[in-house]
Amino acid sequence: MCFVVNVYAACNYTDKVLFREALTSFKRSYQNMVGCFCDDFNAVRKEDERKGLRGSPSQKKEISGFNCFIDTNCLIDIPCVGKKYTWFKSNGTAKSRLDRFLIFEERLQRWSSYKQYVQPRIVSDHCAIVAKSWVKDWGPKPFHFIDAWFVEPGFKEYVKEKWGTYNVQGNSISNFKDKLKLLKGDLKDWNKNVFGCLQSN
Amino acid sequence: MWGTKENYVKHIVAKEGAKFVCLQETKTTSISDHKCFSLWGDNNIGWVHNERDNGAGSMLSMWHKEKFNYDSHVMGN
Repeated sequence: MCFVVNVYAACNYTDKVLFREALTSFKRSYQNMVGCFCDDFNAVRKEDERKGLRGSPSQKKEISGFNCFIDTNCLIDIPCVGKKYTWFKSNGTAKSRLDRFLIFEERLQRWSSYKQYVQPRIVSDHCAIVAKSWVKDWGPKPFHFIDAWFVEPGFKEYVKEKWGTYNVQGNSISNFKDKLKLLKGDLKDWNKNVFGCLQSN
Repeated sequence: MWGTKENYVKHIVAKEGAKFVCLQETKTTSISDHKCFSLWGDNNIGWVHNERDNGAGSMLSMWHKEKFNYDSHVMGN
């Protein structure tokens, strides 16, 4: 079951605290809940997420309260891309990051490619925020020839033996290219068998 | 103002291929299937709107039924 919670928090400090308590108990009432709280929390996580407003004594309390809410509920504040602030006072004297997506999900890997994109401010004092997966296609993976292969006993014999088995058709230069391509596949297998997967060691 | 904002929502939904949209302070009491379908350019859309204080403080949640199956909803106060 997936929950999407459309959040519009009050400006008033007391109401905000009550609101976050309500969200916490709502989340607690469902086991293994997956989903997100999104949008206007009317609160910031760090002092530099608010600019232009005179630092009130309650500011620190508000920041720690909001962070405590995030920790208590094990929420993931997915990374932000684009503009730093999501709200701008109409005369430009103040700006804050009041809007964000907070994810709740046990399998964190599922969200590892997600980012929140702050859109340009166009029709409101708030900017729209968009959460989406950022997976870039880097094209084919380059082939790495590892120097250490040369000193591994049996390497040269393996290459020689494999090279002799490739049966390719065409002129000399395309034969050579095709054989290199086949050798690449065999070298990958050989590397896996001889050295194993180095990343997992 | 809703007219301009409506166009902006349309623009974002189309540009991002959105599957779930949360709006705050819609300032309207007249959300309809027709309005939501037109925002998405699609009629396979579900929505929930709470009308409060004559539209101020009201929120609209919309989703594409291709990705989300509606089960139930609760509203805060």
